[in-house]
Amino acid sequence: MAETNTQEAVQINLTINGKQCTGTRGQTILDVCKANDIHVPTLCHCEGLKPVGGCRLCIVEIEGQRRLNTACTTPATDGMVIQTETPRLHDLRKRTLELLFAERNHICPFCPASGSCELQQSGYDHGMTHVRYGYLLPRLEIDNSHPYVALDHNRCILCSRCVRACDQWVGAHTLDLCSRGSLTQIAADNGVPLGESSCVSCGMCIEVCPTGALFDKISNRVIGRQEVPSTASVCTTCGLGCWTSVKTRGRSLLQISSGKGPDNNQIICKRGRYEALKVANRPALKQPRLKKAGEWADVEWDAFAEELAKRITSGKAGADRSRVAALVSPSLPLETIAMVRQFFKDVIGSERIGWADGPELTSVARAFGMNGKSGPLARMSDLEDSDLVVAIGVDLQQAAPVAASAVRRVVNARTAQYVELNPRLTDLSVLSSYRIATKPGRDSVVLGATLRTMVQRNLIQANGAAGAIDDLPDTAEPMFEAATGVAVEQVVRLASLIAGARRPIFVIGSGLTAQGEEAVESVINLAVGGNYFTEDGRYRILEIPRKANTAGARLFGHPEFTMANFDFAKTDVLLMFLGDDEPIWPDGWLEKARPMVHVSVFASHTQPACEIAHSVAPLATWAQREGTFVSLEGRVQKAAKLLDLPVGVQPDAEVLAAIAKAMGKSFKPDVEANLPGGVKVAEGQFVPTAEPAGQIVTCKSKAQGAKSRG
Amino acid sequence: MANTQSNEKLKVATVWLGGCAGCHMSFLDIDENLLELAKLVDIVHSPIVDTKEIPPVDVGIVEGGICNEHNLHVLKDLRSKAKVLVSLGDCAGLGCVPMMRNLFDTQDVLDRAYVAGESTALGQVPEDEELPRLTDKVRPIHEYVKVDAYIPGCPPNAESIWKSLQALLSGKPAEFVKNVSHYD
Amino acid sequence: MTPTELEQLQKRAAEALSLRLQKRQVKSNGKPAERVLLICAGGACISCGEAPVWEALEKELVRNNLHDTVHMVQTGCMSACDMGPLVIVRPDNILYQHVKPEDAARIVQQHMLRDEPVTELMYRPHPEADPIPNPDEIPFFSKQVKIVLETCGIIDPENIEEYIAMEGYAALAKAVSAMTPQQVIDEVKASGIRGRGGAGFPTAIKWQMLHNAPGSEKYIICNADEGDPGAFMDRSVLEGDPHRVLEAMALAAYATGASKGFIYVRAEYPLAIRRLQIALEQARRYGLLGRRILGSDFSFGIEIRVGAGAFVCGEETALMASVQGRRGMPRPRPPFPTDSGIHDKPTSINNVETFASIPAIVRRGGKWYAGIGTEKSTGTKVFALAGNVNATGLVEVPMGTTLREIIFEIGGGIPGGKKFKAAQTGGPSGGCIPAEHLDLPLDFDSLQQIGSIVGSGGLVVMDEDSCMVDVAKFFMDFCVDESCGKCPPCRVGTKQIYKTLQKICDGKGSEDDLAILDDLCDVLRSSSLCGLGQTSPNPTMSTLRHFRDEYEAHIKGHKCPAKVCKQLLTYIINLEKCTGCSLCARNCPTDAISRIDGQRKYVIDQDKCIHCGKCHEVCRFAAVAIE
Repeated sequence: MAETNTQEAVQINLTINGKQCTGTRGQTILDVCKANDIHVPTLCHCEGLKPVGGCRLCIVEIEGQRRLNTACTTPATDGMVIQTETPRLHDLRKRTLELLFAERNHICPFCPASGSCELQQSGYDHGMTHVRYGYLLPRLEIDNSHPYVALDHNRCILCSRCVRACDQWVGAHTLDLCSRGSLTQIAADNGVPLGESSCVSCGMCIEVCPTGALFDKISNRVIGRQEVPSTASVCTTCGLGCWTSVKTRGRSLLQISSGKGPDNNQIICKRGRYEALKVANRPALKQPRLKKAGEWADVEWDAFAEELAKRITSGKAGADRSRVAALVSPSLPLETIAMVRQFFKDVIGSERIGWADGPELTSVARAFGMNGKSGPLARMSDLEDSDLVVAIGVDLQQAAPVAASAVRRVVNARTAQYVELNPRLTDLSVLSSYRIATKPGRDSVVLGATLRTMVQRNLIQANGAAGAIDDLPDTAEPMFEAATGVAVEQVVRLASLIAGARRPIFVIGSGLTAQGEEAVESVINLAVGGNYFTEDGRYRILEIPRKANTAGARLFGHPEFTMANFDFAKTDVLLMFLGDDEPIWPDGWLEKARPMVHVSVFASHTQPACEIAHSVAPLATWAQREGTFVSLEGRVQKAAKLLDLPVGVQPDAEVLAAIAKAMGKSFKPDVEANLPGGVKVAEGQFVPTAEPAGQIVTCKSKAQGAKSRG
Repeated sequence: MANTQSNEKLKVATVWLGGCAGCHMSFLDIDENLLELAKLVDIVHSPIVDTKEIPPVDVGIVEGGICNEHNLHVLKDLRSKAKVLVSLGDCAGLGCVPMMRNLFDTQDVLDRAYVAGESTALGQVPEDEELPRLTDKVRPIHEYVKVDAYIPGCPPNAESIWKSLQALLSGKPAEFVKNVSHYD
Repeated sequence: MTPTELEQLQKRAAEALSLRLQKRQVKSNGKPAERVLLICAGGACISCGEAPVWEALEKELVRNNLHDTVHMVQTGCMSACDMGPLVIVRPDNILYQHVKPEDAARIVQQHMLRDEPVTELMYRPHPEADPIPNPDEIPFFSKQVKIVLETCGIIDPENIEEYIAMEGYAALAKAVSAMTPQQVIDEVKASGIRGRGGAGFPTAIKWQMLHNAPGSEKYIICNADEGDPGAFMDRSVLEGDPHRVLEAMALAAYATGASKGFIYVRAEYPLAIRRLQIALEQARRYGLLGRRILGSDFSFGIEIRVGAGAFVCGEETALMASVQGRRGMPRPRPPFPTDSGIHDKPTSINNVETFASIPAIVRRGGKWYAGIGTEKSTGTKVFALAGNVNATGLVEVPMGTTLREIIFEIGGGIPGGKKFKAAQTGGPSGGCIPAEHLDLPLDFDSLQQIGSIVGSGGLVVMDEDSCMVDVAKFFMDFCVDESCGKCPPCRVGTKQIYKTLQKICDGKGSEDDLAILDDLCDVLRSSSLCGLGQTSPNPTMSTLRHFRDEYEAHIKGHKCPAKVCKQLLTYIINLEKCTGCSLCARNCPTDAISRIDGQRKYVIDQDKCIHCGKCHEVCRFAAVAIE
C-alpha cells in the first residue's frame, strides 16, 4: 500500500454515507471505507490479493454513476460522494446471497466451516432467514485425493480466493477455474485430482477459503467448530523465520497458520504448516536412557547425570577437558546454545563446542566476515525488485519453499528471469530461462570464470579490481570444460545474462556453501565485481540457511568446528545437543564416533545418533520452550512456548544444572552474558551487519587448485 | 394481533413435518418463559397435545420441510387454518439436512435405507397405501405456502425462539435476531 | 509504396476491374462478348453448394472454349442469403439465384454464347410474378444503402489490388500524408459514428481518450468475436472484404498513436481467419502495414488472436484477458481499457462493423456520413435478417429505417400469409419488439426506450406461431451456457430464470413465478459484473413487458397460445380422419395410443401422454389434432 513515507501520497476527500472521509490516491473505495471504519460486506475480497469484483456484495452507489460499482475494485477519487448502505443495496446484496445459498450445498449444520464461514456470516448480517429461489443443488465431487487438503466443490462459491492465493502468493498456479457458467469449478492443473497435481501443499488455499469448500484434513478433525485461541510464533523448520499463528489444546498442537510476516510475506509452507505439526505431536523421549551391556535402560535424571559426570571427570577426559566436545544443532534457540557454551566453558572447562551441521555454517561466516555480526546479505524482499535470479547450489522448493514462492512470483510476473547452476534438476528448473549443470564442487571455478568473462568482454566495468582479474579462473584453461562440465559458451551466456540484468540477485544454498569459503567468495566477487549491491549497501546475495538458527549460530563467531572437520582422535566424550534436529551426518561419521568413551545425545525423540550413543537425554521440542531465533534477514524473533513440558522432560537449563551438580559444581545460566560478542539482541530488531568487502578476493593457487582437484 | 388486555388467549398450533423434533425440543428449552407464554397462548394442537384435527388458530408453527405427501397435506391444512404461519428451524425454512437427499435419486435413497443398509437382511422398501409417498425433492415450506415469519437454526436456539414469539405475539414482525439466530 | 504510387496502382487496378463495374447490355458480335461471372462465396452460399457450381461453370466455359472471354470471380457475401448460390453476370447485371451445377450448361450456352439470359434462374417475388433480372430492381437490394458492405460481394477478398481498385487504402494514404492524427479523430467525430458492437459508444470519444492517454505503448483491438446467435455481418465483412478492416485499424492506430493491433476472431470462423491472414500478408508486402507505412513515419503491425468461441469474450475486458492468454473473464471497470488494457497499457477496442465504416468516413468526410441516418444515430447499420421473413440475409440500411420497411419492403413480409408477432433485435442482450412498434425508427436510443437494443444487429422476425415465453427461454438458455461463472447474479441468476421459464413452459408455473422473474431480472440487471450479465434479462423482461398475456395464458389457462410448449398441448386423434394405420401407436414412446375395441381407430390415453408430439409428426392423414 502507498503509505505516507512514499514520495507522493496525495490526500483525497470523499463523502461516504454523508460522512467526510479522507483517503490517499491509489486506494480503492473499500480501502478508504476500511480506514474510516465503514463496514462494506465482501466475500471475494481478501487482504493481500488483487481484487476481482466478483461476488458483487461490495456494490456501492456513487453519485453521478448510472451503474453500481464494486468498492473493492473502484479507485477512490477526490470529491466522490458514495453511499454504502441504502435499502436498495442491502436488498440487492441479500438477493445475491440467496442466489449463492440456492446454488450449491450450503447446509450449515454439516459443514466444517460453520461458525467461521464468511458466507454464513453475510447471511446473518443481511438477516437472511430463507432462500426465495429454488435450490439448484447439483451433485459435485469431493476431491479427497490430497494428503492434507480436501476440496468439496459442493460448498464452493467460486470467489477465486484460493486461485489467487495459489497464484499471487505461492506462485504455484496449481488452482484455477475451469468450465463456464453454473458448471464453473475450481480445478487443479488441467483437471487432475488435487493429490496428483503440482500442488506444493502449503495450505494457503485453505486459509483464504471463506466457506468450507477447502479444508485442512489434519487439523479440521481435531479442531472441529470450537473456538481455539491462536498464539503468534515463528516457524523453526528452516532459516527463513516465517511468522506463524498456532492453535493448541492441552498437550497437542492443533493447527499452524500463516502469521502474515513482515515485508508482505503472506505465506508459510508445507513444512511450516504440516511437518512442524508432526514434529510437535510425534512420540517423544520422556526419560533419560543409559546403554548398559548393549541394552537400553530408562533411568532417572540423577542416574543419567551421574553417569555423564563420571565419564567427563574420569579417564583421559578427566585429565584433559579439551577431550570433551560438544556438537550443538543450529536449530536450537539462542538461549540453549548460549547455555551449552557457558556450561562447557564454566563447568566442563572445554572450549570445544562445534556445530552439528555442515561446513556451510562456518564457510559463509568466514567469507562474509561475520564475526558476531550478520553478513551484509540480501533479504527476501530484495528478490521482489530483482530482474534476474541466479540460484546456485540450491533446490529452493526443498530448502525453503517460501523463498521458492518469492522466485515463482517474480518469474510468473515476468519481472525477472530465473537462472540455475545445479548439477541436478530442481523443482524450479521448469521456470529457468537458462540452467547450467556444473560438476559438483566446481561452482567457484565457473563463477570466477564468469566474472573474468564479464570483465574481459567489457560487459561490466571492472569494479576497482582489474588487476585481480588475472587471478580468476580462465575459460581458456585447456582443462576448463573437462574440470567443470561447463562449456565456454555456457559461461559466456551466463556472463551476458548477469551483465544484461540491472538488479541480479544470487541465491546460494548449501550445494555451494558446503564447498567452502572459496566457493562463497566467488559469489561475493561477482557481486563486488559487477557492483551488485542493495540500496543500503548489502550484497545482492541471498543465502538460504538450512536450520532455524543458522544465522544465530554464526553470531557466536569463529573459529569453530562442524561435523565436517571434527577431530575424532582428540575426543573421548562427545555431547550432542540436537533437539528436534536430525543432522545429515557425513558418510561413516557416526561409525567413527562409536568407539569413543562416551557419546551422549540430547534430543526430543529417538533418532539415528542415538544408535551409537551411550546415553540419551530428552529435550523439549520446538513447541515446548520459548526461544530466540535469528532469521535469514538477521531479524531477532521469538518462538512462543506453545505446550507444557511433559512429565519427565526437564527445561534445558535444569538438564545442564543436573549434570553440573553431579560434577559437584553449580550452574547458573546467564544467557545475556553469553550471547555472541555481547550483542544485545532485542526481539524484532536486526543484529548489526558487517561491512561488505570493497575488493575482489583472489586465490593465488587457484589454477593449481583446480588441477589438483581435477 | 395480540391483545393482552382481553382475557381471550391466542390459539397456537405446532406441527412436526420432515424434521428431527429438535426444533420442538429447543422450543421447550425456553424454560421459565414457558410460564410466561402460557399466560398469553393456548397450544391447541401439537405433537405434545393429543388432538387429531387442527382447529382454527391464530399462530401456526411448522417444524420440518416437505419430504412426503403427508407433510404437504398437513402444511396446507395448517396454512388454511392459521392466521399467521411461522417456519421454525432450518428444515422448514432452508431445507437443511433432509434436503441433502435431493442430491440423489429418490429410489436410490429408499434402497439405501431399506435394502442396502449394512444391518439389513432381505430388506424391502415399505409399500402400503397407508404410507405417504415421498415427494421427488425435499423442499422448504415456503415453496408451497405463504410463510409469515421465519426462525432459522438447526435447531433455533431457545432465545431466538422466545424473542421471535414475543415479537409475533405483540403484533410485530419476527426478524432475524442478530448475534442470536444462526443456521447451525 | 508512396501515396502517389498507390494512386497509380489504383488507376491500373480499377482498369482491370472495369468490366465488373459496368452495368450495360453486351452483344456477341460474331464472337461471344466478354463477361464476368461474380459467384458469391459467402458462408450461406458455400454451405448450399457454391463450390460445385463454380466447378461446373468452369468446366462448361472450358468446354465451350470461353475461358478467356468469360471471367470468373469468387466474391464475398452478396447478402441475399436465402437466394444462394448466387451468380451475377456483368456487365449485363443479371442475377441468377439458387444456381445448381446442372444449370451451368444453360447459363454458358444460352447466356454466354447466345446472349439469352436464363429467365428460369432469375428472381421472382412470387412464383407467378414476372422475373426481375436486374438485382438493382429487386427490393431486397434496391432499398439498401451500402457503406460497410460497399465492396463486399463485388471484389475478390483474396486480392488486395481489387480492394485498392475500389479506392481501398486511399483513406490511409490521405491520413498519413495530409492529416494530423487529431484531424482524423475530428473527421470521425464529425461523422457521429457510434460503436456497432452493441453499446453504441461514440467511436471518436474512445479514440480521443486513447490519443490523449500518456505513454507510447498503446494498442488497437478489433473485436471480431461475433457471438450473437444469428448475427454474421462481421463474419461477412472479414470474409468478403478483410482489407477494409485492416485499413481502418491502421487509421485508428494513426489517430491514436497505437503501434500494435490485435484482431480477436473466433475459431469458428476459419475462412475469415484465412482471408485475414492472406490480407495481412498482402498489406505488409504492399507497405500498407508494418514499418513506415506508405513512406511516412507511421508504423503499425497487426496480429490475429483466435478465440475459443466463448460468448463472453466479446466483452472487452474478457476479450483482453483472452488476448493475453488468460481465462476470458470480465473485470469491473474502471479502469477502462483506454486507461489500462493490454499489458495494463491504454487500449481501444472497436467492433468489425465500426472499423468497416471508417475508411469511407475518412475518404468522403464525416459530414457526408453524418447526413445518413438520424441525428443521434448516424450512418448505416447492417442487420442480419432472419426468422419468419421471406427474404433473409444481410441488410444495410440507414439508421432510423423502420422495422416495417426492413421486414415488409426489404424482407418481403411474412411467409405463408401469417401475422407478424414480434421482432427480436440484439440477440441474447436484446429484446422483443411487438407489432405496435413496427413503425419505430430503428436506432440506438429508440430501441433502448422500448427495452431492446440495436446490439450487433441480429434481427429475428417471428410470426404468430412463435411462443414468446419459449423465445425468452431460448435466449436465457444461451446465457446460462455462456455466463463466464465469475459473478453469482449471472452465474446463478440466469439458471434460476431459465428454470422458472421452463416451469412456466411446462405448465407448472404459478403467479408467484412472474414476481420471481421480475425479481431475478432486476438482480441481474443491477448487480451483474459485465454487460453480458446486465443485459441477459432483456429478452425475458421485454417479453414480460410486451407479451405478459402470453405468460398468463401459460400459467392461469395452462395454454400455449402459439401451440409451441408441448407440455401444454393436448393431442387428440380425430376419428373422422383416422385410417387406423397404427403408425402413431407404433411411434408412441410411452404406449399411450391404443386401438379402440372393435374399430380400426386409435385413441390417446391422456394420462400416459408425455406431449412429445411424435404422433402429430408421423400421421400422414393429419388426424392428430393439437389443442
